[in-house]
Amino acid sequence: MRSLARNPSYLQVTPLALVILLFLLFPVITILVVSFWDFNAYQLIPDFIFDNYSFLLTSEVTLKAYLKTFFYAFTTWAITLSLGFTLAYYLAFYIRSPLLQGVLFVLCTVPFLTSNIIRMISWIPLLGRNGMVNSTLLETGLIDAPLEWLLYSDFAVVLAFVHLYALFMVVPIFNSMMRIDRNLIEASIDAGASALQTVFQVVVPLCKSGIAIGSIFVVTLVMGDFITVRLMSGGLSASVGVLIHNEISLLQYPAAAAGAVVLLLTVMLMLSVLFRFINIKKEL
Amino acid sequence: MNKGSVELVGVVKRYGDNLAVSEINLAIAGGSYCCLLGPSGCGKSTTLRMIAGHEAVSEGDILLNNRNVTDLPPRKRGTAMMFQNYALFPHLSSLDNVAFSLKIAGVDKARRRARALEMLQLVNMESYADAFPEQLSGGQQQRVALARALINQPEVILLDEPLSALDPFLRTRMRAELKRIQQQLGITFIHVTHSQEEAFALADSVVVMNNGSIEQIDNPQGIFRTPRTAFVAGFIGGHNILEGRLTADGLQISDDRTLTLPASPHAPANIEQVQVSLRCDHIRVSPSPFDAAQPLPLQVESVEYQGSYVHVRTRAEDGLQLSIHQPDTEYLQAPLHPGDQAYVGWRPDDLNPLQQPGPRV
Repeated sequence: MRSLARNPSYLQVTPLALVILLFLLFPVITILVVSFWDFNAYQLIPDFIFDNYSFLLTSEVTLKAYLKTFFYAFTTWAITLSLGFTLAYYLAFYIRSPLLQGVLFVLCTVPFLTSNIIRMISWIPLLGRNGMVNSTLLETGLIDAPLEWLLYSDFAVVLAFVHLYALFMVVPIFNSMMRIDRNLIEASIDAGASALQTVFQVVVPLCKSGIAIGSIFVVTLVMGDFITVRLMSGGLSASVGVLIHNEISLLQYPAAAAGAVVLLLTVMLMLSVLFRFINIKKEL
Repeated sequence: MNKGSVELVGVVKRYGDNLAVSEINLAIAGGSYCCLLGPSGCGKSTTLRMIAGHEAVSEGDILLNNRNVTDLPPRKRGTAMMFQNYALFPHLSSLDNVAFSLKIAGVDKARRRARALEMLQLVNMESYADAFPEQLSGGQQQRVALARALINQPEVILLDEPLSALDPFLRTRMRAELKRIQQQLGITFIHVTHSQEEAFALADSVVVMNNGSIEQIDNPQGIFRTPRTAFVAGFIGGHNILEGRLTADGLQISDDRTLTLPASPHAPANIEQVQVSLRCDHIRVSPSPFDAAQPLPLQVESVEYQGSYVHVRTRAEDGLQLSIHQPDTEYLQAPLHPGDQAYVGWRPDDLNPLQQPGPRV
């Protein structure tokens, strides 16, 4: 107690430590423990078995789900990155008036005023078999039969992901672009660089941290998602999240927990690779 | 004119309805050191940026080596710019910063690094080749920025307030360094500054600007000894500006006081109100009357010891105010105190007639 009085910093970190302990460490440890339990159709049986993992890691369904999830994550990441970078670049370097910049930036966040689900569902009347896109294309005679791949397909899933998460890419990239000294752009032009060379030699390297933070958001969100995949693929494809969700619906908690642990490790592995390339701490 | 000459012909810059630079005509000899001097917002930086090609010219032409470069991009002009805060790329080492333009031009790695190292040697920074800008001090960053500007062998280097971010001691040292490099390479330096001290120390020719136009172009001595307008005299400091009516006897300041003017060919004629400048250090001041003294004494308002001189502010009842730089030896012989009567005097030649701002006659 005396040492506590002398060194109040321990006291000062207590609230945060408690929050992390209670809301992060405790649930994760619970999941880890439960993932080794046994179960049958009616109950959970405390145990220490590796069946959940051995089933998970040898199942072809898991492999397929992971491949699908990686595909979604990568495609969404690539599209949101190019979209987010372009948008942020336009906002940061082409809009001169700070007021207009602010207004446009807020405009980017407007979709977030409604819930995820509503934003996803609103695609359905647009993309459906008899939706607006198909009927317009049919009427103008561009196609003879409705396009089947518009809805309940990988296309629809990625589209919804991009719609949901593009802003998570725009914001951090915009933020790091605003911190670039405008003289650097002129210095680059003074050195003879074209606009494109300036973007790739100066702007991109200086936005690395923003790109990294945006990538973390998008990749982790997509990796853990189940509702978008389920809704937009019409249940035709399964991501890792969908598998876990299915197991929870069947009350197979230990199996779901094992799935969650493996997913957590996968995402952490991906992030550690990312951190190896970019020093995020430096930029915050 | 020799290599690296710059000429501005009727150059105008407008931002909407605002006139930032109004019809500037300026010729800078190749291989000379030219300083654009003026207060902030006088259009000196805009002028520099137009020469660099970072700002479009609204009207007029810019000639480099008698070649019209008005519409060329920066790199095609043969100029290189050194930015105010150096604008070094934070993600590149010193060496790569210097080599940047060669990388853009597609020079292979070994060649551009060798060349960049040469440039770093020129500014004594070769031992910091691998350091990143954030690891360098202001003075070191500036050397790297200079090396980066020099690597393409430009004919003209444009410097935008290059010394303003440095502390006073370093500023004087870098100033000497800039002059050394300019003389060693023999290229034209155009240097924007708001410090007359800097301009006087460096420039072969000083261009004093105000409100988007040029007030005076001359060498430093010319600027200081014969400022052309009241603005120039006021901006460079060390001058009194006296205003009065021109009469047959000279300059009438008040009913009781008329100052004898020099018989100068360019003394303004037929102008009622005229201004003259009088150098603070050319006024003799004494507590007792002397030969060439003005008959009416002034009252000492304040006395500040400045080291080599003493700054004496005086005022007369008729409104005449004079700042005087008295040599400290004279001061120590007969010190003046606030409230004392002071007799002042100068040679008529020391009165320098000023012109109204505007185009030169």
